[in-house]
Amino acid sequence: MNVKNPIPVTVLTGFLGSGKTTLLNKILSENHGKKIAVIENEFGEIGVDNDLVVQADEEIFEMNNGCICCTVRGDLIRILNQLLRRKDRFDYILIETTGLADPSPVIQTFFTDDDLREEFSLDGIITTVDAKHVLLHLNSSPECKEQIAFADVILLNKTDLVSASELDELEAKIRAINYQATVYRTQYSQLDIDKVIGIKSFDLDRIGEEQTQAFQFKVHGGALSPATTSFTFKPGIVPQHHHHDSEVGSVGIEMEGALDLKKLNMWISWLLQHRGQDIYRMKGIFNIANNEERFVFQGVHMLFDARADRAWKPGETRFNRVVFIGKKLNREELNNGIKMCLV
Amino acid sequence: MEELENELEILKTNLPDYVTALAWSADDAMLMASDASGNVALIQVGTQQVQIEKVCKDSILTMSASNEQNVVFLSSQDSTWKLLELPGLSLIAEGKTNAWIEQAHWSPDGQHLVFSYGKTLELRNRKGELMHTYSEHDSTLTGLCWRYDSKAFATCCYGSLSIYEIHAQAKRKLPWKTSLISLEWSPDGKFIIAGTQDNAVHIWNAPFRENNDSEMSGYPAKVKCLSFDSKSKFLATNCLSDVVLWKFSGKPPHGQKPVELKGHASPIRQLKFQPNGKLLITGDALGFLLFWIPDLKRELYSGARLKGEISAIQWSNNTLYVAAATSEGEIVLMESPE
Repeated sequence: MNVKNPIPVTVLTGFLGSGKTTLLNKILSENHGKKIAVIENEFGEIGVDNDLVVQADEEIFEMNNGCICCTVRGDLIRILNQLLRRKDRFDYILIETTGLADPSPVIQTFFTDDDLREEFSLDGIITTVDAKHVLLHLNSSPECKEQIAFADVILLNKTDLVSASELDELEAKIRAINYQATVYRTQYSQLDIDKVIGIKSFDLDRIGEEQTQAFQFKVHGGALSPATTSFTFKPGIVPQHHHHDSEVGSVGIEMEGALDLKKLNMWISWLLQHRGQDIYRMKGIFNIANNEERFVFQGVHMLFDARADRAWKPGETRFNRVVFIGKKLNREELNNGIKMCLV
Repeated sequence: MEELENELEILKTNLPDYVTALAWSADDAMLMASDASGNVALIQVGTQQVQIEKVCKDSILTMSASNEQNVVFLSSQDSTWKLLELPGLSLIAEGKTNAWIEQAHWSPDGQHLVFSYGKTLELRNRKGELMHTYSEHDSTLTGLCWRYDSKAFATCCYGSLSIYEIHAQAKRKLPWKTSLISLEWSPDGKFIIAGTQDNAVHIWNAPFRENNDSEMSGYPAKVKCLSFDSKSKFLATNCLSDVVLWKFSGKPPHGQKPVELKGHASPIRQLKFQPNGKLLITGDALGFLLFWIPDLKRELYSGARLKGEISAIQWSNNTLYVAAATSEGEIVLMESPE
């Protein structure tokens, strides 16, 4: 079998009129030398010469008797497998979702389908936000919040149509939902495309300075089994007073001390089984007792991947730092859960 | 195991791109291979002459040749289709749809062609003229097969199996809430089998109605390949690098342990029983081809090793020949070992 590099995939989300198609056209028109295939669910005015645009009907399939983490996009499985049937394969895949799409089935498709997991690597979730109109949707549309919550990069677009103070207020609201995403303030989706493609947000190697032996887990309905892995983490200031009830939001926890791996495993299994439906994404670093390496992880709903990362440096303060993004997050429960795992 | 690679091989040739399908002309005089760049190789079995024609602008998705008349149907990634007459590929009919045509099959008697794009099915006659459009499906159709008597066909998609009696234009829908990804109707007409995205094989028994079905689970991966032998005694399925063989004796194999045929070292990509014969050929991701006689429960012959993964296999109608092709564009034409 030929060893092929996985093809990176970027998912573009955002409400209608927020600048998704403008961003898509900008990526396609850049002189990047990549052969790109675009899968879009809405008819957009996409100008492409050498690339392929595939129209797809969004088809949400429930697998494994409706397990939420196994809700996938059947159309993507079919189309992407078809695109692999060529000698000269595409270098990059862009998936443009509908304005009202929940991003989780798209993401889960790449975690749960064996063929796609082997051939493609999820690069990042990019969400465009219309600075002028997003507040109209933010309180009324769960999808709008989900698109912001799942994002690795958020383009706060149409910044010329609102005042500086309105922008600050809006960015604060976005960060209350998802404070780990990188936010760019833009007009007409104008920014360097290397800020949105090739960002490797789901790639654990990105933060690992050296490849180390993996302990890899995939938690699915409570069962631990080997799986592939990916993770990204952006160190930064962790807000300390976020307690969102039914709201979509972020909870950041930072704690010193070493964790007992067995206890941690049990707690994560419990957490994913009982709270996985409400946890959109999670990422973090753990300090495991009697382990010289950092333990990095990420998860989407009940799908959880983790492995050992680089060794802690001599003199480096060992810490546990976790970010949860989701709805009905109980900061106290999460904090106590980790605390209970301390040695 | 006998090494028969050189003995069996009649011809090896190449297309520029991934071979997407193989088909035989009704008289078995010509083998056709289509690729992902829109080319068709026309291989004359008698003279072994090879001619390559650029037939479509984009990748050819499906190619289906009639068993009864020398015509071939092709669909392309630009959502167009063509019905061509052999041997010269002269155009009989053509059309454009609003989605990729991913399933296309001639009825065994060669009188009808059915193809699907998205949630829509079209039934056409031998001249390519539209007879009926069916567009009431819940999701994109992922499997299509005819009954032996050419009077009915079945389709599958996420959530259901549908059976169509073509003259009555009647449809029967049998819900099953999972993603069905491959479909086969047993030659005796008694069973319809679907492979699923959830790593299982689902079986509907005649008379086809709700609650007259069963499922074989426990596969470690999706079941994409299904093939019945001509007597409907064995159903061969892919199970990573093994063939899992279910024995049917007029009834589904409930409670039986399947036979596992081990011989491949990489995942099986294609498998196909000889029509009117007892041989099974399998092809894997490393390009190996193996022949089996299921009753012997072991690999019989090593067929060949090709470059790339096996992307298509097709027996000739008279079962004297078998062709295989790969993701690297290689095509081999072989004599049947039995």
